[in-house]
Amino acid sequence: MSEDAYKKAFEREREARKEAERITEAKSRELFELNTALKKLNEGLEERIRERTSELEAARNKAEANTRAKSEFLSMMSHEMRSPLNIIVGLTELLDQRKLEEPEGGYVRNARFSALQLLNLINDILDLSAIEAGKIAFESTPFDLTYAVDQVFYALEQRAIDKGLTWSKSMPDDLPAPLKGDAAKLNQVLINLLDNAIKFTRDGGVEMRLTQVERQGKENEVWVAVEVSDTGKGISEENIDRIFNKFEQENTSTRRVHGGSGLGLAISKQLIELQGGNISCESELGQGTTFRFELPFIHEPRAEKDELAKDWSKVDLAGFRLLIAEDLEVNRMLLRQMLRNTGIVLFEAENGKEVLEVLKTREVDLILMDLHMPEMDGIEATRAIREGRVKGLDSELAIVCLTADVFKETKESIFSAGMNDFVTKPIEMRRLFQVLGHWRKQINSRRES
Amino acid sequence: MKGVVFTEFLEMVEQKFGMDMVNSLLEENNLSSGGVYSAVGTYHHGEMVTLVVDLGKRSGMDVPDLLKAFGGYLFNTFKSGYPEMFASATNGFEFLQSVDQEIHVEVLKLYPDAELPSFKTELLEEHVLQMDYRSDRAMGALALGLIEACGNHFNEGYEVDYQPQTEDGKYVRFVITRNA
Repeated sequence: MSEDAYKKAFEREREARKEAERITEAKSRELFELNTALKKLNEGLEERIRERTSELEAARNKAEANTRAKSEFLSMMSHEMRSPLNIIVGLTELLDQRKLEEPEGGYVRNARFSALQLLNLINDILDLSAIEAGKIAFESTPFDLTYAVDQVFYALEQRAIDKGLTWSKSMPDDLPAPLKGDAAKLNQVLINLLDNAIKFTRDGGVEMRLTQVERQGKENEVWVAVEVSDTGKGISEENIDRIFNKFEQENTSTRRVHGGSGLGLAISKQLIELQGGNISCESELGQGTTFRFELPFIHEPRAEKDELAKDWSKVDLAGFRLLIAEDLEVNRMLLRQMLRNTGIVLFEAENGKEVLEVLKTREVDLILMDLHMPEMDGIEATRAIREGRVKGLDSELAIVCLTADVFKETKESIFSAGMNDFVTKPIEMRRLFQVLGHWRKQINSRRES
Repeated sequence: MKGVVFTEFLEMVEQKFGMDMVNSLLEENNLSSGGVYSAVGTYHHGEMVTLVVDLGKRSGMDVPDLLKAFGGYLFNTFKSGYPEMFASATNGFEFLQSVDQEIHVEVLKLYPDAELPSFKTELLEEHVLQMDYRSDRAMGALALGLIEACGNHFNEGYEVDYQPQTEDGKYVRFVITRNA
């Protein structure tokens, strides 16, 4: 090949190299620009994610605020609905104690039962909301389990007898007492199971068996098993898993024939499981059903026994000075009735302002303080007393709250305001006397020292 | 047409016919690119036609034979230059079927201005693949070289029936029968 040809070939190669470099450079620039655009896009996306996140946060906050508002509304409703019902329950209890002739006695018991049923339904709805909001609080107060179970059993006896069912129970006599736990929630579960058993049994009967069972648990823990058996229509195998679901009954005809909210078993299951227990169901179609639950309680042998004396009506209240702060006359009347013949000295106030007025002139041992009162509510009045706003007054005066509220926050606000104890409405005479007896003893021992 | 086709073509010419032949082709054809090609550039495909036709004249070989030989050469270039294109195919038919749907898709991502031929395939029988070549370049013979080289690469001796569908050579059907 000639020198000239080499030169030309060399020249071509050089040109080709330059062109390749130019193209590569252009490609690099293009890549750089694309990269920058990609970065921008990325930042835009991140910005959008931040926006979305804050939108979601706002939505969540709104939802939480709605839930809080709902919960407050429920608390209000519970008060509004339960107060008149409590009065009905209380008055029918007073009537029942008069040992009326039949059929009036039966009418009263039925009225009382219906009112309790309605109260139960309201409690069911409130409980479920509280459970779902994670707000259910469990008591751990000493009570006599045998006595509590007896009460429920006898309360429902009449309905079983009216339906022509046999109604029996067995309980050990040597159950440790007192046990600490939540008596009201135990009652709720028992009522639910016994009530269901009566409802779904046409022939035969219902039997309740209570036993103490051995369980590996904490020290002082006492496990109690309760079985409620009926000879009713039974539950089919495919439905047995669903009966503990809320709003589910065995089938739609169940609601038509037997009524009910479909909440009872769901609540019972939650109440038991939240306390560390368990519940199960065995059934055979046409043969009957057995519900069994196990619950732990705490046995503290050193707990004061007299506080739980079965004969609570013998609690000595003579000369005890009690101020009732309650805006509803009918509630004050109920308390007056419950406390008559005890020798107790009663003062009354219709709101917090009146409480402070009474305290200026009267010496009082204990105040039974309603929470919701016009002008000045129970919390405000308690604060005024604890902060020493009433001159010459013992700022450690015992204050017991009267409340129909079931929500935890309320209970917390009661104690943080400086109240010492509480009695829930409807007022059980037994609980009222125990609380008054307990505080009288405390006050006396404080005065002696 | 992509520059890599030109540079590979010229390398083949240099190997088979020598440097002088390359020189003559580039210097005596009045090419608009001046005979300067880089692999990353893009050039008018007419220049390739001119080069091939002139090579035919100078070497005394048929243009289709030259293109077919170039197809075989180009296949080997692709094989060593872009091994990733061959990674997923386990046999020749699989590879040929992926040309239109996978390889050309990737090529277009890198070179959006590339004008690529289309290869529609249809498996007529287990051993018979029909492949329709369509391109304004009318270089069916180049495609034939590529197909046969593919068969060799996968050790699957191909019998290729070359069936032009139009007179201008822009549409050619290949019916490929696999022996092994």
